[in-house]
Amino acid sequence: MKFNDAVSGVFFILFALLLFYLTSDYPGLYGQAYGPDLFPRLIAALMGLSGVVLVFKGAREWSVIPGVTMADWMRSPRHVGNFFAVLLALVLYILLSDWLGFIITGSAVLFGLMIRLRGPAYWKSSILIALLTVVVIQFFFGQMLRVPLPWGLLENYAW
Amino acid sequence: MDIMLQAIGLVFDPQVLLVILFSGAFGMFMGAIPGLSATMATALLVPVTFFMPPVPALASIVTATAMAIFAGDLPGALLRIPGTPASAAYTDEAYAMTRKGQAELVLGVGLCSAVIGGLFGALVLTFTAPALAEFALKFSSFEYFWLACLGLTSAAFISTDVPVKGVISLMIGLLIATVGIDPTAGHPRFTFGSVELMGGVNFIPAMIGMFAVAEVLRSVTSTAEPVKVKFGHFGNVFRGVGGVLLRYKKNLLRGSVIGTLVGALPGAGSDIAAWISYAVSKKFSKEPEKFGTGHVEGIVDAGASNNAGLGGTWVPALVFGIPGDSITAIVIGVLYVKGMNPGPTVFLEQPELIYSVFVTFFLANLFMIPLGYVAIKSSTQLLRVPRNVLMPIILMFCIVGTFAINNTVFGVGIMVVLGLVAYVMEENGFPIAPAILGLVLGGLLERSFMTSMIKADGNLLAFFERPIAAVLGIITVMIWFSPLVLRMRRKGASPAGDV
Repeated sequence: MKFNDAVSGVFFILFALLLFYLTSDYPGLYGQAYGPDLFPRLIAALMGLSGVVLVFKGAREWSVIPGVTMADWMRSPRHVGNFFAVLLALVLYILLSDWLGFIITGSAVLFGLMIRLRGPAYWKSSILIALLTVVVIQFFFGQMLRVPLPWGLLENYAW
Repeated sequence: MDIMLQAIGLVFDPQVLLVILFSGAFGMFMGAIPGLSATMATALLVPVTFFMPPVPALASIVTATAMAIFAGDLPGALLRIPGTPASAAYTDEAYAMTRKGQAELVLGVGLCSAVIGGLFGALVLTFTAPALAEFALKFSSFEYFWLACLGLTSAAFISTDVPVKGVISLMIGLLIATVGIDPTAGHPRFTFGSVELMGGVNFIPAMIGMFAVAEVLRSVTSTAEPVKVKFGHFGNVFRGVGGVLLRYKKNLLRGSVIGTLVGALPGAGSDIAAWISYAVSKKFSKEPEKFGTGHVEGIVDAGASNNAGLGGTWVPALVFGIPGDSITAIVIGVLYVKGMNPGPTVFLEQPELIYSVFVTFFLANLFMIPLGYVAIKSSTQLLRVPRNVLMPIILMFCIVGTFAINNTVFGVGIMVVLGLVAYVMEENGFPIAPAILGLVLGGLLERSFMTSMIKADGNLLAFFERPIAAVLGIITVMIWFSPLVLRMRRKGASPAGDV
């Protein structure tokens, strides 16, 4: 998704205003004219100014570059599916890993993604690779580096 | 000298050597696969280094990046796709040589010039960094404020042809750095009631999201057909290399010098070093007409340059704590995690650790000869590794690596959000490196700014009162206004207005 720079510019101007609003109730430093709001506000000011520059730049190119251009892949259902499959995999991992444990969630996520990207025909090797990866990670991070990867449902079988 | 021996002792520990070997192999792999860059290799290594003592942690990053920068030549020469941005400058040239049947020669020359350039960069780093550090001991918060400004400004301006986009990217990074308890008054900022955000956004999940997750998203949505590799067996990789290097020994030296200097500039790294060296090589060549037709001269220059640049980027990173590129920005984050606050004092307090970085640089570049040889020999297999298998596995490493830092899935959430942000930014021409630099340096910048403001009682002129601060300040302000001045001059030259 490609935006004309003017669109991005307007976005950053609005964002800068939001930052000013969010920092408006910060307390001052005792005896000083500036406090915790100074730095974020400087950042917001520079961001807003840059946004203005972008608006001018984008407006000049408006006849050539439309407000929003779809990326090539957005017209291909397969690639749109891939994009959301990756996001879904990440969200599912965040939501489920505590309950199901790393081994189950991890291999499910890996298997699902590989089926999506390589096609169901390769399901056998996908299962194998998914399981192997998860076991290697569990061994390397869980055992060697002692990262407490959640066991979840497999708590009783933890090693 | 005593410290050097101590450092050599630290590095020549069997465990550290093993780490170097594994990181080297990992770096080769990451560099050789198009789309997986040296930066991404570093990002994925960081969670592992988190659990290591400082010496192996830094050694693994040094080694992996050095290897990855060379390995980027492999797909460049064989598929005409640069494996890392640092190889982009001479990909066409290298591919043209492969088509002339000189694949062995171009990769052999690439490997040897990388080793020589890398060793040169290491030499410069070893001798200049301690001397500069002594000078930097005189710095106060004013100088540090300007140095951080200068580093961030050049990063924002160099990274893209639209400087204002670099500035916005930088502001996004600085803004993310302000999340959490503020350093002067202890007031929570942008936490929206979340206890986890009070501690701030950890840079490791942020960096993994912005460099690795964004790249995975780009890869799974790439509509380009995968390129088929059809190379067979490689002959002797080193045949004829000696002759070429001897003939172009001046280029070798020139590439190394340019690479180290460009690398040491804040904001510019190996990729820019390679572009400049290639252009210089063409300009001063006796046979510039041969460039682009499969001529090895420019590859000698640029191949040495990008690896020399790696050593160069560590100079400002170690001495001032100001990173030269996104890799050293990550390194600075790692140094903070390891309790070695980068800056001149670390040379006084823990010199053996800094010197062990120098030793690793030499060692890594020597290791590159056998590892690079193996990588070239097995490049056909390396390039056949299917993306569709690799990307889910990388994603899983991102998740686990992020989780390992705080042992909560909250970090994974941060990684996802910033991965998406980085993806949209890059689609729209906003560079990512300034955001990472901003995130890493934001704390230092704000602290030195606020300390200076309080010392000066709000008088902005105090920022220019000390001599070094004044010079740094004036240079920085000049860079800030350079786009404006350039525009006005261009307008003055063409009275008709914009052309």
